[in-house]
Amino acid sequence: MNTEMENEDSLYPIAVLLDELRAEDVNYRLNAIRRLSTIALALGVERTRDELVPFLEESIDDEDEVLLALADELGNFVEYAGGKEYAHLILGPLENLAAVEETLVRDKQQIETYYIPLVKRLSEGEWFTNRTSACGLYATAYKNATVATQIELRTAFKRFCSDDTPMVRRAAAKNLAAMAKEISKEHIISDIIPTFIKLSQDEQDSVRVLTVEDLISIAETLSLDEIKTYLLTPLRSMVSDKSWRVRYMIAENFVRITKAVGEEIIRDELVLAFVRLMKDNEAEVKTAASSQVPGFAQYIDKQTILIHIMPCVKELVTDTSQHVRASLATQISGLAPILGKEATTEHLLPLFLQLLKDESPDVRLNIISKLEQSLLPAIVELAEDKQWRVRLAIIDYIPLLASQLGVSFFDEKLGSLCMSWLRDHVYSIREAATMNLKKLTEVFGVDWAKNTIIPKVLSMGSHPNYLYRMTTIFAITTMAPAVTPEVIRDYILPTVNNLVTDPIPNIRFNVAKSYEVLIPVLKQSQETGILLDTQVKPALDKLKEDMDADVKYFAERAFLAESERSLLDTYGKR
Amino acid sequence: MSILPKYELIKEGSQQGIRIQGWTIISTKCPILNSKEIDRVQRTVPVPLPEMFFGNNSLHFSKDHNFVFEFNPTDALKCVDSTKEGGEGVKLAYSEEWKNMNLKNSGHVVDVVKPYDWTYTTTYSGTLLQPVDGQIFEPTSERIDVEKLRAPEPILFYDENVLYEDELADNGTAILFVKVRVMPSGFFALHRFFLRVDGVLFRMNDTRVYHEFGSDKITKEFTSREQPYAKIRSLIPPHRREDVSQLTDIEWVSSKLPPADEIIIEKARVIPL
Amino acid sequence: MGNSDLDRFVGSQHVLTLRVSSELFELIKRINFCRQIEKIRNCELITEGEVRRLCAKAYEILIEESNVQRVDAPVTICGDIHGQFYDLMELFRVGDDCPKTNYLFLGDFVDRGYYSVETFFLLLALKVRYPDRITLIRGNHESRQITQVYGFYDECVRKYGTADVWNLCCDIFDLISLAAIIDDRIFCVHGGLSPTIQVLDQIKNLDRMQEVPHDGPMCDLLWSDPYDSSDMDGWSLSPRGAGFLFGGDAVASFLHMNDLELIARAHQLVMEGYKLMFGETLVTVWSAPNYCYRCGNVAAILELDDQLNQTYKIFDAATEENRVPVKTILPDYFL
Repeated sequence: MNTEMENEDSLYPIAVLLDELRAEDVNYRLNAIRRLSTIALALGVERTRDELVPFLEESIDDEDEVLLALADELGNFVEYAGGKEYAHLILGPLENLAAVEETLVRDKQQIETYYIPLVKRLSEGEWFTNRTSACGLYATAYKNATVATQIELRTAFKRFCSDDTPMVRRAAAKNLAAMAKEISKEHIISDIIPTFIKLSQDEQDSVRVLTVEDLISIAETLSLDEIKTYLLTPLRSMVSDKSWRVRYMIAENFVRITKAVGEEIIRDELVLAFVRLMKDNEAEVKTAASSQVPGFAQYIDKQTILIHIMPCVKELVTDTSQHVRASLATQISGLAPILGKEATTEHLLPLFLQLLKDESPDVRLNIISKLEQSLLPAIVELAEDKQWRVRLAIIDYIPLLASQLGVSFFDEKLGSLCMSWLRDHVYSIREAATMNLKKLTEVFGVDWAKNTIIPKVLSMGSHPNYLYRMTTIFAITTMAPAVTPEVIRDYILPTVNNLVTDPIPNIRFNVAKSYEVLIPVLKQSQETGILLDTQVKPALDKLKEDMDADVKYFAERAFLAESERSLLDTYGKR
Repeated sequence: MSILPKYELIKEGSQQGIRIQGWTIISTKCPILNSKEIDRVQRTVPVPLPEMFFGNNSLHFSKDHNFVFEFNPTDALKCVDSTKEGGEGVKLAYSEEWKNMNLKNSGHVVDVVKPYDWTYTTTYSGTLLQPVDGQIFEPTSERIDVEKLRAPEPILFYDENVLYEDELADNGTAILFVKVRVMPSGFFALHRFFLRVDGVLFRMNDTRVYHEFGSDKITKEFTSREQPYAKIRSLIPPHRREDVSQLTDIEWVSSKLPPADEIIIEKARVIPL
Repeated sequence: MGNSDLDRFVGSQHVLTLRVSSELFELIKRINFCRQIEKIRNCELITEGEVRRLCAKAYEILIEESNVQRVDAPVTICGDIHGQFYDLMELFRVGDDCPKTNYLFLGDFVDRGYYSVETFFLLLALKVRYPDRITLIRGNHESRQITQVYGFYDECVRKYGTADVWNLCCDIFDLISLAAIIDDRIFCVHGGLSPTIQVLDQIKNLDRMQEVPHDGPMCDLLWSDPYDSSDMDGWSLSPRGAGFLFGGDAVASFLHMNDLELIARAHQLVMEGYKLMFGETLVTVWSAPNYCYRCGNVAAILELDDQLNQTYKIFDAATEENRVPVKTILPDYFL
């Protein structure tokens, strides 16, 4: 019974508090807040930590007065929560309060009456949690304070930077950026920058890490000359900070830094800084830098990209850390629009292909996930480029790309492109396109060729335009060594035979040349070997009697080649 | 030892030049005009365009945006004689012979439709786009100080730029080009029309422009020189008598042409009073 | 020529006509020009002795040709080359090699470019090897007088030490046909029409085997220009006092008289590589990109298929051609 009473007693204050905190009347709620310390005391440290603090963290009031009172109370809460080692628990609700500071403050009257005193109390609080949470309130306080108060606030804020507790210095570093946004240029230079420099040289890397954000905010408010005077030195030391975390933070935010400092510094400082980060010893730093590559590239000219950035990117593609490669794989496609067609073809596509072959599935996945949205459109666009040399370069990549992407993806996305090159009006492209078909046959196999490309190639053989027929002859002659004698017999030979009587002499002498290539393939099997006598020889005989001297000549030559081989075979058998 | 003045070289796309002592000197070099551009320019000039017309090329001088002067090929063509008389001036070496033959052969074709000076000889000496205080080039007796130009000064910027060229249907050459050099003490430009009509004549119309940095004026000299083809040809050294390629060397021909009868010297203000 | 030479030939980067080794092998057997073709293809000089043999063979072939060569479609028409050898290689990359594609070159092979010698010998070697696949007609630069002024003479003397090779070439120039006619429909000539020529037979009756005269129909074919102006129809004298300009009427009447549909000519630089005039009854084809290494123009060839359908193929200067030691501008203390 007694214990029961005790339980009830101890629960009572919480229940009342809950009720009062939900009351309609602000005064009830204020009253409840002001009794928090009493309640906490009643609950004891354990239950304060486990129940009361989480409860407070969740219930954020919409009345300024209530919140201000809560902040005031919480500042002293550390001891109710069990002392220093549990102080971090209080930070949660305090930070929440700081987050809603904007709504907290409605007019100057309130600021001077409630807010500023609160900030001051917190700043001078014994516990670091007070001072930590105070840091979060300075920006808003400053913005709304009178000039006289602003002076006080600036001085007070500076003290945080030399606070004994790293947590406070961390909070100062974290909130410096917000302060910089509210302070006039004059005082940024006189107060904020010295504070920033001190923090940026803090012995704790956890403090220094946070000053990267400050650097960006301060830079955004300064002119080029001022940036040069005040920020270059800290920037340089951050880039080469002994802690990788700081370098990581710089790398992670590189594009934002770039945006803040302006062209001249980008050219003179950042390019080399970025190169340094891309060559960092730590994989994390390189990963972060990799993520910034296309973003940063937008701010520098193409020549600089090619000279300074691309060599690093090339190295990162083969970095030992798969995280670096995976990060790069996600980002690298963003370089294509910046580099333009020729440089993409020359420098970027090889890296793409390299990543496509990566041993890590994550890397391959990342690059392929970008394939459809960036690489493929780039390839398709380049494949239709006005400059035929660009088209040529793309064709050269196709077999490798095909082997990485697999047959179904290839058929769906690139198949028709490969066929369209056969009809290109530049000869070198048609030539490369036929070589490409041969290589694809080697990649995907004869059956694939038989079903997909050969029918299309052969259908061009009856096109009214002689150039198409010429391409057919040229393509099947090129592909012949890559297919089987049966495919030649069933598909290729009939088409070639048909063209023996083509009206264009150029077609006819290329037919003769084609026989010369087909003969050794047909001889590979007994079954197709007989076709030499039944089909090839009669055709060549006909061509040997042609009116055109060149047709005659090439027919004669094919015939001779055949005889020589027969002779060789005979000797071979002996 | 004089200290080099501060200057900045410009290189941007088809343009290069220098900014020095308040002057901006830009040389623009582009391909010959395409058909569309040709049609547009053709409407503004009275003669058919030369075979190679670098219509977008120019050499441009500007002093603090007050004084602006340039050499451009379109204005140069406007100074080519487009009258019937202009067309009568020079005829090809075998013109008489040709006309007689032609008369004998076809009789009916003898007219020149729209005659003009097909040698593209121009008296152009630059375009003053913006004078200072409305003051255009005025005669002066003060010549360009050649001694100053001989001083071994560094050349900070140098360029040569062809404005137009026509090989006169392979009967010679007509070329208009401009050269410029900028030194620490000032700049000097030579704008030259060179004509060779095989078997007929050589002609050279030069415009020289000089400004000494710090002075308030720019000086311009124009000369015109001419000599029969045979006379110049006879000056080829005897040991290479048959080598007519010597005659394509403009510098060599220039050194053999007699001095001009008259030098037109003019000056203009480059800074406001 | 051993196997290694053959391999080198086949494996080498430059694309020319005779890439299949066995085909080349036959060539050696038939004519002993292989070495020189390979040399020319690599832009190397062939020896004077080889030049003599090449010219002798070319003489035999060209002398048999008519003033107006009959050509069958399909054929690709090319304009001025002017010694831009590497650009000619680029032309073959775009239009396909000879003999696979039939070619008709409209003259002005030499002068102005740095490789007139190589250009002319390559075309001549192809003519000798594949007389039915390539047709050459004469331009006004294929002349003694003009080549002395515009570079070919100098180049010959520079590359061979004497003017002998130049003399051999000039003798060949005199034999080159004046015009060609494709499938009886398209008239091809270097310059243009002549007021003294109404029908093709009049060209056939000319004595072409001579230096290009200063006047008369042969001169006109190589020199005259079309002139499109509302001021003029028919014919005009050139303002230079020699040479003709011909207008839309002259073209229409010539086409009508000879039952033709198109005149294809070269002779004048066109920024876009080709230019159609007079309601597409005349075309100027220009095949020397970045003419004189500084005009910035593109080049074109006109591909006619077997139905005489026209396709214009545009190409830029070859990178090798641009590597030519173009006069770098050095500061000069001119006065």
